[in-house]
Amino acid sequence: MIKLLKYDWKRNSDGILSTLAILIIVQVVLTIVGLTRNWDEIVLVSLSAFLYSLTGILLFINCCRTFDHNIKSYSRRLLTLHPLNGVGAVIILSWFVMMAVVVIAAIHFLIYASYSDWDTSLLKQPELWNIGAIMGIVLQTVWGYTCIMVAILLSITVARSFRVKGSTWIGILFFIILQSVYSWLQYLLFHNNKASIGVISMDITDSNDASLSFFSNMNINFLIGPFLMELVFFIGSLYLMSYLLNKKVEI
Amino acid sequence: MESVLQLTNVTKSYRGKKALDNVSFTLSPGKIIGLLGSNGSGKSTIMKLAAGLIQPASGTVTIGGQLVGRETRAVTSFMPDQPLTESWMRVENAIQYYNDFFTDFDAAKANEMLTFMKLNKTDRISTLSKGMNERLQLTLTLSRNAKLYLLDEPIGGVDPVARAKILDAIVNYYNEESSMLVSTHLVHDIERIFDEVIFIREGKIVLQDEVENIRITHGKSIDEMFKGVFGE
Amino acid sequence: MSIEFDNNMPIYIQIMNYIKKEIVIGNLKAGDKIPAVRELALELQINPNTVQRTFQELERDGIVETKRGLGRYVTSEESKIMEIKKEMAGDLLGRFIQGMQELGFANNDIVTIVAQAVNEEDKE
Repeated sequence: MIKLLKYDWKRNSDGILSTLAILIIVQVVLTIVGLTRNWDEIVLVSLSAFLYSLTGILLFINCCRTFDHNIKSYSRRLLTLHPLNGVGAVIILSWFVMMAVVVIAAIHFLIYASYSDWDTSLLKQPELWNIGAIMGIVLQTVWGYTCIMVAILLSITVARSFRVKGSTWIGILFFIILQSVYSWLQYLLFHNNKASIGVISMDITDSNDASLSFFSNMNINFLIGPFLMELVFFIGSLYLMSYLLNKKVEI
Repeated sequence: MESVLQLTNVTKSYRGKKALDNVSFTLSPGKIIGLLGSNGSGKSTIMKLAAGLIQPASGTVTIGGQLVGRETRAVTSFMPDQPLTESWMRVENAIQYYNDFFTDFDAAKANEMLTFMKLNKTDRISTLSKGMNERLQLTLTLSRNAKLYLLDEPIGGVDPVARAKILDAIVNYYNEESSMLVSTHLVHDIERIFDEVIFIREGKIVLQDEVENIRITHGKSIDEMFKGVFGE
Repeated sequence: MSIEFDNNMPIYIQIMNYIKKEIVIGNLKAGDKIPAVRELALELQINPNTVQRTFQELERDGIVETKRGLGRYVTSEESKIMEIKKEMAGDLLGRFIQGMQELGFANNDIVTIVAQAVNEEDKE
């Protein structure tokens, strides 16, 4: 898997690194222009956040396209590796690009915060930096993100299992149905329609309550049911992908 | 003798059209076999089935007695009619890629073949001419010590110089214990390297025989025989 | 070594004939080593199995001998080489006579014509 990741990275590194470089340049220019022209801070921050999300989405799409390309290419399909290695490699690549965007955003935020007159006392509360809570959030985010990724990769695989025109639409339809079935089941089982695959079901109503709220999310009862269901969907998706890649996706 | 590749009553359709219709044949070890047919006759479909890239609708495909799948891919080296490489690669990356993923890859043989083929390790694959690219694909394919080699149109669309070079390489670097299935519609240039030929037309096998037998019994070259069968 | 192959005839027979000719005209002498299968296959751009078959046929005819571990050699029996010579001469004569007969010459005339031709060769 790591070897595949190496080649996925080599193929995409130019694109990813230049996207990130452009992101940094645009953010720097935006901040400088914003500050010198005295733009409204709300506008500046939301524009900046929008750019981070956009970049994240573009890089995410790029990972999905890499997968789509790989399952159609001779160089990958002729290998003796289990097809799930390719899935794993793309997921790790997508973790990496997301982490890169998050890290850049975090650095940006820290620099910005230290020069602005924001009240950062909230961030300095020791309770907020509880390692367990932070790990919990990180794990939950990564898990949710991975679930979304797997659902999309599965939809791409389903689409490529059909040798007809417009198979992309089959994939999109499959994705929508998958999500609906998932939400419906979750509603039936847990009477909780807030969450769907990958969307973190954190409920922060009041920013002052942030630390408390995080802790409540670590409550095992809250997680166990939906998590098990996510796990079932996750493993089921991998099985289905493995079957399709071995038997149905033809090139 | 045990068969290297065996197709039994294989049928395969694409979009309702039959690409292969109840095809059966056996390849014995140590032979170079020509798979001859015009475009769209089902040659590539047979190649892909043997490489495990597609599945038969009915019938079985076995290599060394084993149903085609991930395990048989380890002993099958396939050169498709499209590149085995990725466009960002240089020649050395492609060699490294094969070395990384195939345990039967022989790096020393690959280096020797690169020299023979006059390929530079640092050349970008995207800048190679069609003929040079075919040479690279063949180098990658033959540098594996496989049981079965599958070459899909190795001399299609390349100039006569590259063609001669490719034929030289096949004769020189092919491993005598293994079998090789070579598909082509250009029979004249290549018929002398075959032991046997299989003629395929519209998804059906019309003839399988040793080339020298054909020459003895019909007094014709394989090329003439081919033109006769395919009515050119 | 180069052969203009005729794809209409079995390749192995063409190589056999070529090697026999090489022996008869003295390019290959009694006891000479002959090329390895692979070497010859590469040189002629043909299937190694075809070369293998050629050598097997030559061995069966006693024209080539295999020395274990050393390779293949042209037979050292001069009589064998003479035999090939005669065989090839026979082929040539057969074709010549047939051709002459087709031109309408009687057997006596053919002998006379050949005798005359040989005499003229000698004078030159």
